[in-house]
Amino acid sequence: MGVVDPFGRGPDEATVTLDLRVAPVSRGGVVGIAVTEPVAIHSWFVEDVRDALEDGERAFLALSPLGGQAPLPVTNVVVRDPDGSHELAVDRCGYTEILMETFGERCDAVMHQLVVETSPRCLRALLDAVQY
Amino acid sequence: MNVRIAALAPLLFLVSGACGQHPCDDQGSLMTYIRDVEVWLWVSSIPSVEVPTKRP
Repeated sequence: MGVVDPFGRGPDEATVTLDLRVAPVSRGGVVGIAVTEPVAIHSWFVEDVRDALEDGERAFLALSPLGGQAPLPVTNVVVRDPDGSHELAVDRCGYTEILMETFGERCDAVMHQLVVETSPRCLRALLDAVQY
Repeated sequence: MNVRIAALAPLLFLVSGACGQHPCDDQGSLMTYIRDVEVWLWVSSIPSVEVPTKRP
């Protein structure tokens, strides 16, 4: 495990590189072949991903460019409950509630679609309705 | 997060430019990052190594 903390935080939190068993998710919800990859992930996300997996939920990691950091860091985690509901991990800002307020009954469908989307145009189309 | 704080979150974001408590601090917001996603990964297991996890 290597500490690569780009946030310059103290010892209570850090971005770490862990070897995770992951599979790419593409449009249509198709999950690819799982492989072990080094992933840069904030320690708070680690805690929530562990909790999700222990609870039988699915966790999806969004990797986004962050100052040219390699490997690409996890910038969001979406947790999907077996009942189909979704929430953002480490959501201290309350974005899950904002999404629920914005999309109402469509919220889980939108987040289901979000988890497979990487097209900037489609992501904007999905999220531009969100007032935050 | 209670409803009252959730309702304030957009305003806090506008004022501070970031939530101030999340890993996104100083870099942007959750939504900003979601718009820049390059890949989504489903994670099936995570090693049981110790990481700094003390939260405020």
